[in-house]
Amino acid sequence: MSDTMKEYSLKLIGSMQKETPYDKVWNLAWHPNGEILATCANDKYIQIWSKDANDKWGLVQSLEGHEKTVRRVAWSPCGRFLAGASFDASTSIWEKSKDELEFTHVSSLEGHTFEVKSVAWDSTGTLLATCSRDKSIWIWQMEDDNDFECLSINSGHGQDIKCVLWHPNQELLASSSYDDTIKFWKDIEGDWECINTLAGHESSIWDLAFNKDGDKLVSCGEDKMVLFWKFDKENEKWINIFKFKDENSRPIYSIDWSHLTNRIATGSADDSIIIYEQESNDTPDKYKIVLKKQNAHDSDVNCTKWNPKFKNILASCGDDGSIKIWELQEDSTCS
Amino acid sequence: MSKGEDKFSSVLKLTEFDYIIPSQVCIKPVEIEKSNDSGNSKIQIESDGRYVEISEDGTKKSLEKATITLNDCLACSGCITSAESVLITAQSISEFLLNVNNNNNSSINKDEKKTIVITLSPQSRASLASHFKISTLSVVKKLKTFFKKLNIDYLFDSSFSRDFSLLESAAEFVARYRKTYIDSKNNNNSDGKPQPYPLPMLSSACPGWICYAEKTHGEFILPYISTTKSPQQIMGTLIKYYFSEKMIDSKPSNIYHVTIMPCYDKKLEASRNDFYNDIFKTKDVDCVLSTTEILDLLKEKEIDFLSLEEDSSIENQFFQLSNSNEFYSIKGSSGGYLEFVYKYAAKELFNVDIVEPIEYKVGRNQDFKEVSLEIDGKKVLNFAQAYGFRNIQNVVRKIKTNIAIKKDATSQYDFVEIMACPSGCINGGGQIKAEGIKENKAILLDSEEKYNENVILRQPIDNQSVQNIYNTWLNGCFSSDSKTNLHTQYHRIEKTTNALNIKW
Repeated sequence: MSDTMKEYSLKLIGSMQKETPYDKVWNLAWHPNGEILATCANDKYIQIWSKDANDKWGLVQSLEGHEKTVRRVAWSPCGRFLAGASFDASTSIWEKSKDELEFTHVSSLEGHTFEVKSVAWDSTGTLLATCSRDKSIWIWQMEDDNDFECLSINSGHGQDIKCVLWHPNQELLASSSYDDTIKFWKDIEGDWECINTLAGHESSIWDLAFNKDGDKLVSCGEDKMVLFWKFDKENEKWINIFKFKDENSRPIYSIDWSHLTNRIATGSADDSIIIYEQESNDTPDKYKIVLKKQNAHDSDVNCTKWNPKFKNILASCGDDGSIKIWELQEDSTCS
Repeated sequence: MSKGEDKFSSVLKLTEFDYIIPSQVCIKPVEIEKSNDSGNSKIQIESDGRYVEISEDGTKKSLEKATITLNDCLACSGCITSAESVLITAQSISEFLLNVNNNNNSSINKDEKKTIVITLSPQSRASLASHFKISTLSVVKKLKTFFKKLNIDYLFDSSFSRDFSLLESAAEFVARYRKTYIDSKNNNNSDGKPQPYPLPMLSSACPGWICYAEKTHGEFILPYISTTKSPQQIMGTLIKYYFSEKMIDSKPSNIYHVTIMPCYDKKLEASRNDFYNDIFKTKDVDCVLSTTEILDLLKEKEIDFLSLEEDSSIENQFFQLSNSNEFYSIKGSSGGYLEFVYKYAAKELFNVDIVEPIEYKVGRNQDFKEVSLEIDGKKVLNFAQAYGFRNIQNVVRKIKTNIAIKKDATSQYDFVEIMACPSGCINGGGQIKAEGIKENKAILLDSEEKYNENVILRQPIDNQSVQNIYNTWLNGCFSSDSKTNLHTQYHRIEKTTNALNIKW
């Protein structure tokens, strides 16, 4: 009987360097079609990348519209709109022209009094959430004329809010903060309220990710921990089911859960990318490390995102000013 | 959270009271006298706690404590943490009692003895009535007994000054409307300059809204805001400059004016520089106490409110009590601006008598309503009410977008009544509340009921006392004298979030 021991490697298949090296590239987002990438950096631009005829990644357009660093970008589920959250306290909305890779500025969401840290579209593409250092979460609804109406301004977190993320199929919003908690928000008779607060992290929680079905959530933070949460239907509460501690030597800034492969990727200040997956089909609530890629970047890894269309393709960006495209390859060896 | 922080409107909390960590250190420049000696000097703390500077030759010089005025503190948006605590101390019940006790001190000079006037808001009255489960009339009578014990001379009702606020707002609106739509047809204002008093006119009675507007949207939104003072501040002006001289033969600085209000934002309003008179060195409103602070006051004085006797000697000059012991009121627990200005404008501009009840179109949530007047199929008056932060956002946004893309006038609002708190003043941050959401909803409903209980509706124009003051002191509504006394101005506040000031 042969023992198949799976070994994985992360192969670099593409790389883009910003013109100014060591410009921090903060965040990136794959277009739903898996072929376009939006990135944002502390140079105030949002950059759109795609592959040319020779399969090489190149810059298509630089979107200028903010007065300070753009911290996060997010595509609408239909891929027609792109949102950019900026330290200038506003969130820009861009519309992609139908057949071309051309973007025009259609709206600016103002109101936050301090830096906007994150923006997220809900699964229907009609609701948008933004969060800020002003400790509030704003929920917006897109109107017919591409303008947005403010539905709610939620207070509750005691500190800067780092991330907002919508549930993959419910009208439920998750947020994570410098106050060490994760909160869930729901519309109850016209008023958005916090229905659940999760404690467990020991410091700022940088990023969140839901699995495909939305019954599991994973969070990562300043405390170098990765926490797995599961929704307990009986008690209607999220409970902590698993955790990784000290796999990274420094804070973990980004986490993403592939809805294609069910694998999780993290990017950390220790320059590494770590891939996790379920331990086995028999132990669905236990997780293991698949691969640790040290020195994935020459500096902090700020964001890691799985391609939504093509399996095992991962994009990452970091403080070294580079954007890298990786392919997770499986080499199985027989003992 | 320090005590009292949660009593401010959420609008103010998000913009004014920024408890971010890392916190910012005060950046207000303090004037220090430059000393002439260039030599070394030591600083020593004396046995009595004073700081003294000892120069080289041994001479001691007492050092002044660095101080910042409350107004400077509040005007700066740097670190509001200190401003809040400074404010709370300056307008707390201990400060109030200090002034009352000083006044009652037998050794006080006759000239220094002040007349103490308390102005009670109808929202606070309703909240107290709901809390103690008694009628609003009983609340007033019992308060009168309590205040008499403290040798407080007068208890007035801010519904009185509200009549002025409504009349001025309505007149101001009609003037703006005429200038925008009617006069512009006659004088071709083609120099493209923006109107100094444009439409929509946004109500000005809510200080939470005003502070937010000055701080966040400053430049472009201020011209839209009505210049009419709030009922609190009009009362301040009336008490210090009309009542003092005309009715009790006293000086403005010899009156200590206290108001009882449903929120803490009103404390900020009372502290505005515009409401301080430099000549008489006195504020229009010296101290604002919230409804909950009245409860604290009763507790501190160990008073069983319910067992207090009911004093029937209530002034009816600056009060609003009819001969049948009912309160004169208008509809709307946040002042009723929308409805009053709407009806007034319809009559003044189009000679239309609005038929009751007004049918409002409710928007996305209960705190957003619209109503419009159509003549020959065309919308001539487009009014709205926006309570709560999210609705204020949308109104401001709409105005900004309309300017940016120069939308046609018909889609624009002409007037918006804006209040920072969801459900308006009756739900202010200083009103008496419970712990749970459900209980608070019940309290809110009950307070609203109390507000409308024992009330006769009377139009401000039918208030004889108001008419009298207009005729004898102000030369008519929206006159030059009215504009001086009953109107105010707004100032943009720069945000001073300089990275150098942040303590990392």
